[in-house]
Amino acid sequence: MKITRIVIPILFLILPILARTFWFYQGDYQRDSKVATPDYASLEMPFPSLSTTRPKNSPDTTSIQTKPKHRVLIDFSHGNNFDLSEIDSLTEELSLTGAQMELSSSSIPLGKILKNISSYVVLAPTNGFTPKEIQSISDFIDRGGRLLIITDPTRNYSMPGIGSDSLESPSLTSYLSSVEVANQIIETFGISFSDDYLYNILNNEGNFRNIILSDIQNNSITQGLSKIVFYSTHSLKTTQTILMKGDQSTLSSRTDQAENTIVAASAFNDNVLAIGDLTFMTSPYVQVNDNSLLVKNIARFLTTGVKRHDLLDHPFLFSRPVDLIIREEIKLNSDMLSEITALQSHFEGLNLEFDFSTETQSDHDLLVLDIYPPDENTTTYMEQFDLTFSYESDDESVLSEYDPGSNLETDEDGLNSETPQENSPSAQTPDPTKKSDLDPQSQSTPTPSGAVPPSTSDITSPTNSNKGATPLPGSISPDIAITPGKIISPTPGEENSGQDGNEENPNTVEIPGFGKLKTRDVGLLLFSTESERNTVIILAENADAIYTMLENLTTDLTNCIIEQGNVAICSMISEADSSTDDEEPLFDGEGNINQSEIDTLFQSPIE
Amino acid sequence: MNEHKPVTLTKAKLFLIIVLPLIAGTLLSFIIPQPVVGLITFDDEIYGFSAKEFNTQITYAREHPEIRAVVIILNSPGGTVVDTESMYMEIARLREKKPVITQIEGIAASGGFYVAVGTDYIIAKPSSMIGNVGVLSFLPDNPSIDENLYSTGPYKLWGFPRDTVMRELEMIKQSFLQAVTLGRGKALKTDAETILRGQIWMGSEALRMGLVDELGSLSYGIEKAARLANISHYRTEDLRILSGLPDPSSLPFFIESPDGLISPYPPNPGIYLLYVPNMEGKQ
Repeated sequence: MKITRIVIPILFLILPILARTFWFYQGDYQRDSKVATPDYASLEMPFPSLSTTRPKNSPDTTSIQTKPKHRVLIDFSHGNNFDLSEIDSLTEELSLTGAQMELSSSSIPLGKILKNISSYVVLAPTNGFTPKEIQSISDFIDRGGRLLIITDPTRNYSMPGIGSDSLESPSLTSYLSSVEVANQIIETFGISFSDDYLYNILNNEGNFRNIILSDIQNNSITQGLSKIVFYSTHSLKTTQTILMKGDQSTLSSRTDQAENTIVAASAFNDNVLAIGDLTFMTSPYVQVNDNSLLVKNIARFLTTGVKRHDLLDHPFLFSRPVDLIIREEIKLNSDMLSEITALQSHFEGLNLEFDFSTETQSDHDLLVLDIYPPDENTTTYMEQFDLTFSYESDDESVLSEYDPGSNLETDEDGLNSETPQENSPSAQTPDPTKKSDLDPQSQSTPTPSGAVPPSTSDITSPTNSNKGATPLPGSISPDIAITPGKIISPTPGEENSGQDGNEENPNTVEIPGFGKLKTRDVGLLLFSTESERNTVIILAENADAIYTMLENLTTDLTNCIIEQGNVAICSMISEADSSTDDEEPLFDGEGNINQSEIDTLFQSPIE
Repeated sequence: MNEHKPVTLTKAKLFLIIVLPLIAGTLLSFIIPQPVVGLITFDDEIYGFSAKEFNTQITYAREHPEIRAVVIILNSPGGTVVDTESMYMEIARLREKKPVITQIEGIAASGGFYVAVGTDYIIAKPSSMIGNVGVLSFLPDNPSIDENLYSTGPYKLWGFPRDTVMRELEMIKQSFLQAVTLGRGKALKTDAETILRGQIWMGSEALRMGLVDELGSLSYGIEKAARLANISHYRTEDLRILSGLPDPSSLPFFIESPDGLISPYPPNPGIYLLYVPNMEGKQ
């Protein structure tokens, strides 16, 4: 009873409390597990593996001392979205090879600049190329020039302040992407950039945009590479040579698919190289994996091309000091000397030394001035040209006075005629009986720059072992062929007369693929490259014609037709002459040949 | 022989044995507080000021036993990394004691989603914008020197090399991914590569991917929080009011030009867990 009196009140005391508790709370909150949070302390920044230390390259001192063989043009005329300092790794490698780098100038037409260039580098262009420029580039590559073109997704559009004031592309600014501009040039070679970027979410170098490339094809450009990292790259489409591409987990931003992950390609016998990223060669990314080796390979690509060097490269026909050799029969009159002075200024403008010479030097280029037909010295440089000179004369008095069997005599003018040793082809000798303005003994005319024109006794021919007079045939034989180096039977005197020659039987020169031309009407500019020496031979009828040819050489060749790249046929007929002679000029002043005159020229001189 | 005398409960005894204890017990029962589901409304970018106010409310909830569950009503595109992490960590402490639910309203992107995955349960609307997992940052300029401004190290003025910023983003991205995978656990039905694309998904798609738990309304979310907390007959309270914070206000997060145009980027350089929509011209 007493217990009841205690328990019941306690119960009634607790009851409301319990009721309220259960009214609000059906249980306690219990977690299944501890709250999990990221292990921040264990997170680390990802760093790539760096390239191994490369052997220190010592500069090639010989290539620094001599004239650089390869000239590399870096384009800065098309809104190129980069700084020169960003490609230090490439320019340093080029310097080590002895290459000379030039930056394009918007004031000089690209076609002209490319004549003196062996490799052309176009990086992230954002201003369009004109059709003329595109054709110039195509011609440049056609002739063996090399092109490196790089775009980059992070440099796809022009930055403020960058634009081109090129005379040839003044209005194309800022509205084209780098991809569109680059494709203008390379699509013709079977390569095109896509306006995307490649990415890899899981397998990357520090960021999804930085893709790792291990799928590298075996090629001279990719030689030695095992792992490359591109830091944001366009993909490429190509029907040509694939150099590098991403793996199956690398995707394109355009499609989010792995369909096309090519990042580098080459074309046109590996003369065109296209790459979708520029950042890989900038610091510090050039130090990652094999990126620096790729830069070195690119530098080698730019300096190992073999570009065909011919008259189309005018005015850049020479790349070394130039020796001038003038045939002794050519009189150095005032006009001639003033033109030679102009020639010297021309070469100075090209940063080339120029001087008279009596001997050829192996490390110099050569400019030879001669008259028709070329003498034996000159013909030694003409081996590759299949020219046929035809000289005729019915002047028996001339022939009779020229005795090929006579000893070497000095005539009253001091000219030497040489004794023929045998009836073999040899160099042509001047007709001592014919006075002409081709008198090399005239020393009254001052020489330019203190150079002393060579005397007849000073000129030596490297291959002239037989200085005998040309054996003359017993009768006049028309259309006598003169092959280079071996003049069979040219008629002495006729070619040195300075006269127009026999109107009915003009002297002619036959050029393969072009036909016969009257020597009085044309001057020839022959160009050859042998043993690294560039040789230009100017042939014309007389000193005045030589003077005209020199003028062409220092200006342009618009009065000339270039045949097969190494023979320039220049008109010697002025409009005044043609009007007086009732003949039309050979060329119309714009390099176009007058067809009616060609028909006249091609008539046989004997008919 | 003794005879039992009948026990008669006098009124006085009845009162002492039953009524009085009952009254006393009833009065004592009021010690048991009515459970509260606390509501935290976060409708802002995540930056110093907003994160501070949020953490104040979280702290209040943690320190007051009557708050049995918390519902975060979330509508945020994210913001700075450090403030996001601060909110995330405070939520983790609270979750040791009480369930925390996220009710996504308009958007929970980037840092907003980072906060959401740090809670016990995520409820969204079918068209809520969810995801945008990733980090972004402007890179600093390359170090240079000035004749008139001297410092004692190359990065005293610039903070980081450009390359280091890129790699720090990667590190933060990894922490974000860990937060998502740990927070979602077995409910996650998609892979890391998909998550790290940085995409935004609608609520219904996010549900299929396991990024959220359910689609529902706020009232449903509150009930869910109550069930997790094993409470009923609860009341809801705005923790901003309970914690004594003033009325909501926010400072401009994005750059606003004098003519009212708002840029899509925050004014201060830094690293962000932020969704940056095209806001050009937005007033």
